[in-house]
Amino acid sequence: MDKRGGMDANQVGEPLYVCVHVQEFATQALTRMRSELTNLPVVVLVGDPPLEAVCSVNAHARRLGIVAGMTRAELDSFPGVTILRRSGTEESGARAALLEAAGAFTPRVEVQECSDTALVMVLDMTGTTLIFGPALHSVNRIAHALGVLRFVIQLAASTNFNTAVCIARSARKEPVIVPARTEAEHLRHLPISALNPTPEQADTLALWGLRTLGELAALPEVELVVRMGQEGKRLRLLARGEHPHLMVPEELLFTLEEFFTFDAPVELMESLLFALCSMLDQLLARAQNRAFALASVTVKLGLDGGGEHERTIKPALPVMQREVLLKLLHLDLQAHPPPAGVMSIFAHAEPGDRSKVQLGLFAPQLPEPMRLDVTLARIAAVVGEGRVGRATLRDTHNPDSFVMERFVVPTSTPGRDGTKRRAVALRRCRPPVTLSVRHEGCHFVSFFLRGKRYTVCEAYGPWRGSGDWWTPEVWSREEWDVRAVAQTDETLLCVITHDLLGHHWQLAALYD
Amino acid sequence: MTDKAEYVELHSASAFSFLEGASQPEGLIRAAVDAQMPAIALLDRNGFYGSARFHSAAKANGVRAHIGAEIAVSDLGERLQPPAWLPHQHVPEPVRLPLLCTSRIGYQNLCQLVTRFKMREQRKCEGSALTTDLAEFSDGLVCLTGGDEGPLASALNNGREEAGRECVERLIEIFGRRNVYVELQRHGNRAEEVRNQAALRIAESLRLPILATNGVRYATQYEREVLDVFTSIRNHVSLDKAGRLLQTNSQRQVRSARAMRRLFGDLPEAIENTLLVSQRLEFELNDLGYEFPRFDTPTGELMESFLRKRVAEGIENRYVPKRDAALHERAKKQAERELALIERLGFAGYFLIVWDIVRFCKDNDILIQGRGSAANSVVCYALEITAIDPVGMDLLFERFLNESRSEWPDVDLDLPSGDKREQAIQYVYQRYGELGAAMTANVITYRGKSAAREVGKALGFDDETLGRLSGLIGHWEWRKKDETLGDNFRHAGFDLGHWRIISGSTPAAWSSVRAASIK
Repeated sequence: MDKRGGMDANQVGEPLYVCVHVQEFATQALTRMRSELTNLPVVVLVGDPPLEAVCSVNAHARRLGIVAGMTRAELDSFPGVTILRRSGTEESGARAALLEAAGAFTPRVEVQECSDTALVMVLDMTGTTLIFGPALHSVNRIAHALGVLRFVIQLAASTNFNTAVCIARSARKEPVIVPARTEAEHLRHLPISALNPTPEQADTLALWGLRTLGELAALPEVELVVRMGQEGKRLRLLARGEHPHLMVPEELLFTLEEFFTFDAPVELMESLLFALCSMLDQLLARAQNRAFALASVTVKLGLDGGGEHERTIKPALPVMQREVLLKLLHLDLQAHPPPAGVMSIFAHAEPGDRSKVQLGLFAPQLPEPMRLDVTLARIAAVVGEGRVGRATLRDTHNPDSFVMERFVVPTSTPGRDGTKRRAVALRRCRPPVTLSVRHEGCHFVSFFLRGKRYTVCEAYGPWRGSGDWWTPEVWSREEWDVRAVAQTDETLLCVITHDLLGHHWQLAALYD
Repeated sequence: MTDKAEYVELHSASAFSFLEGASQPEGLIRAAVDAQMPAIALLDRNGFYGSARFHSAAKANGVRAHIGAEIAVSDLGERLQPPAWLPHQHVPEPVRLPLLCTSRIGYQNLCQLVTRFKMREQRKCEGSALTTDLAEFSDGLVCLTGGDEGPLASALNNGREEAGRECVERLIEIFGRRNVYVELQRHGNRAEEVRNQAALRIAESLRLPILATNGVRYATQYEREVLDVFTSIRNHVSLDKAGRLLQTNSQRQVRSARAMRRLFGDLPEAIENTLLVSQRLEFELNDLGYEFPRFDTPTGELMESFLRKRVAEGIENRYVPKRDAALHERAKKQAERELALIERLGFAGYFLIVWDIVRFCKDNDILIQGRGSAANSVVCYALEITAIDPVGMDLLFERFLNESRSEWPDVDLDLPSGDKREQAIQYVYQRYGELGAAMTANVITYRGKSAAREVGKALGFDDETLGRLSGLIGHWEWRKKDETLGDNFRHAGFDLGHWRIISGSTPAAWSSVRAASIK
């Protein structure tokens, strides 16, 4: 096999299919997040007890003699084997990660249905030699990208779709490049089973004494069709590497999600963070493939006994550093710990633009995301959620109604108001001070404040406001601008409010 | 000698300022009666839509109804809005100028002003006048400087006192010094009082009288909630999201003289001036001086003689073929009676106009037929307006026209739909001019179901609740005498303890449903 064949300039227009064969996909989906299991025998069980059976094993377990179909009881005779349950969610996450990584090379990716436990993915790299170089370079880059995601893969490239699929299955660590018009030569030694024939077809071909694809390819077409029909023709073309394939690309959805389950409830923060660390690596790698950073990360912790604990962190700027995200999650989970042990983690991230604010050619890039977000998170941990940020007035007549918004770095300097206005400073009393007020008729004439009695000399108003009548938060109040004098001749200019529903008087503000 | 307790509200708006006023015209009159007000003025937005009902209700209750309109003027500035640094959803719109009709001339001018700017618009919209329009049609009108919707408030907010003074001077230039009043309103708002103080200084410097009004948008304080719901509907938002679009407080009701005197205790002349202005406003809606349009006879003779001749011809054409001399004679006598009444009431022109339209249609192969009580008239039969012989059928003419009923004749003509109908319409426009003829259209109004749905949306009900609510409106029957709205809600499965259901089931909320269903 020519492993180093590439495409030269004359072959730029030739199709090129790169097949990624992920053996024992169920096992790899579980172990890629668990680096401690890399060198240990691992088996994956499926089914309900007591009928659990092995559906997938890694290479170490296979060497021990464990095969698919073994029962749990039979596994007991293999000491030191790590047993995991099959996880559809982790497989979905792994599949998405693979597709995501493949999507960075080509939008045309097809996932083949396989009868064994492998996941087979074919990338149409036709016309990409100018971007990624010859076939070998493309294949190596694909291998590297998938390796970052901790998948063990077998790769093959060919101008024929089905040839690449057949050869990838038997490829070893090094990828196999099949130059154009040499497909038959590369396929001839492969067994008939490489074509996935039906049992009847396999029996028939075995009866005829055919063992390899080369023998099948040598049969005369007409006589084969007479005996096996069109299926025979198809198998012959596949064996010769000439069968055309209409590629049906996957519709790649760009979602950043990872899932991880624990064998037992986890209560230690360090253990949670350890798992989150590898999940964040995966998310960041996938985001980076598309030149994105992570704008927010949501973690849903599946709790022991049922229930979920969901937290979201949203840095002020999209972040590419795992340390920042981990620290923010750490601070957040410390402030809002899960109420029970954690059985699983589902992480979802939103991508964000990686551009940063820069105020001048010689000025440092501001703000430094790590310090900004960690500082904000630390402040929030002290003063409470929703109390850090920017106070923004709400659209309502209710005075003093505001909401805290997330702090964002201003992208432009605010314009100066050209008109000079005379302003009176008003010091708001937060909270307002309750007053004891004395009335004469319908006027209030004096009030008691901080041990002094003030006589009202002038009162302007009432300034009336009411609202939210359709809600339980209905409010109605009057305000008075008051000049009052104490017995000590101290003059007070203030705003006094009268809550018409609560029937209390308060000192709301002082004129400065 | 005026009673010192009296005050006249000279700036109110009814629900015919669509979705900007919460009370029916009758409600405003009722509130005026309760406040012992001798007169009250209605100024609806850009028209006189509520004035007919306002006038009728006022007459029935012994209150004088002053008529006017709030006119949008695009070159006097933009209406006052909250400052830019406050979050709000106000959209820019032109200022509104309150204009009151002192005489029939003023009313005619105001009608023409509204017609002028509405017909100027190229697309369906409210429209707005220009100061040149105001100058052309200013005779017979009294101009107020307005409240927060007015040009003075806008000028004071944008350009301070100097801009306000210029604005008032411009109004003086248009309407004349005698006809401009500086309007003051007090709704318990600081910014408004600052503008009032500036307005007072402007009035003093220009030697203009001041006038206190309450800028009424609802009859009672309770209906402020209705106005808020209308505001939500108008802006296509729920009450939760309407924010500063809603009313600040409940101070725009019809106030009594005592309350207004207390409010303007420092400015008694502002209250007294309302009585003086009211005395100036002599125009009333039953004094329109309407005359039926004249018909230009082709021979140049008088309409009455031309009509007689056409009727005489028609009687011959209709009855001679019947070969019944007695019937013919009766028809002639009946025609004579009808013609005498028509001439006495001055309706000859009307019949000739209708005859002319029918003649055009018949000459142009357009199917046309008169129907209704006009079939009782032998004059209509002779003019070929109707096809039934009223004399032969012994129909009663007095059903159609009766001197004692003081009603005008009404002949309905049926035309086919499509191009032929349009041809007839175009003929009328060509004959009488674009401003001499008009289509009267039905305005789509809210009925119970749709009103309930809109109110429910404003209250923030979800789609399912909205569906249940509107679905039930048409089916409720009052089964027992003391049955309440709450009973109906409970039977319909609503939780009466829910705050929004409480809000939604108040009389104010349901009066909003009724008010929205303006017929």
